[in-house]
Amino acid sequence: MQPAASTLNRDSTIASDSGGHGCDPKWNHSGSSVGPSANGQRRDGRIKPRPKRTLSADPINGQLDANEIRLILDELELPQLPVSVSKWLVRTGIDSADEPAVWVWAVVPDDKIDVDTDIAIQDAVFEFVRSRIDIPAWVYVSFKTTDKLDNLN
Amino acid sequence: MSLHADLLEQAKFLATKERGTPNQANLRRAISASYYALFHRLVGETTRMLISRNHSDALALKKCVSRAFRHSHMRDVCKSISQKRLPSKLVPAFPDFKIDDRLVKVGGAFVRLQEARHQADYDTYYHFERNEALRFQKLAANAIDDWNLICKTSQADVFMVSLLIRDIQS
Repeated sequence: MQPAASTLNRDSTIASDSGGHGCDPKWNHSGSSVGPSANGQRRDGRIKPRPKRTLSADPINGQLDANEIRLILDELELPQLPVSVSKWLVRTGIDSADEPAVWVWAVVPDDKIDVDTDIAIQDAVFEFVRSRIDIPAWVYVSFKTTDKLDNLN
Repeated sequence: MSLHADLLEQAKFLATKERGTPNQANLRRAISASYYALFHRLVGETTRMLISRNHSDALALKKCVSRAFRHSHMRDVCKSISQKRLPSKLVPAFPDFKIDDRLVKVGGAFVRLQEARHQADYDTYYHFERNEALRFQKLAANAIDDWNLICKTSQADVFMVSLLIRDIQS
């Protein structure tokens, strides 16, 4: 779960509109026989796939950058679910076991999410974030509706 | 009813007690009760497995054993299991190459619920929503259902041993 507000001095929280959580479908086409042109675009007009970034923890404080994780989450393609995520909020810090952790809030229009959807999103976000960070931080996922964002300190 | 069933019922009762804006204290106690429902279900089953002989002193021994579980160690084990990793010293005893998906779910639910309980008990600045508490209640209930289906399997035996014996985790 989320870190205590009292730990905010060692945590960082970043929020931003994701503009949808899906990856640009143009990036998902690999194995094309059409190579990139000199200007970075493929000869068929599609944009060259962006290389996947792996995030490292800050060497000084051992923390991950919440903004970087939020940007990575914009590339996440969620499985078909009866919910649309309009925005991701990310906080990084230390969890109750004193281990590095990432808290992700999926901002949704209404909180009628059943536990199966909750688990599916939790698993998808967990696997996605873990595949892109170089430390074994635990990833916790929660939901907030747009009208309750003020409750998220 | 059993303690874990009572705790689940209590969690639901507290999370839905007010018609309007829910009381934060009730939501926090609901989340805590959800965690402890799963915790006590696992501890109870493990204790019964380890002390199955009915000597006259068995009850006293069960009490001692049930107090020997450490939340942090159980969490470490559940983290490993939820990532489909076995405690290395128990690999030879594990009956299959693949960890049962239901066991993986139990492990994942335990980790989430323990963190949620910690926040509910100590982070007084966080504002819980009713649905959040109800999802944790359902998460615990589903995990207990999964556990009930697999708790007599040999995989569950290995899991339970690792929950209690700390040196076996590394």
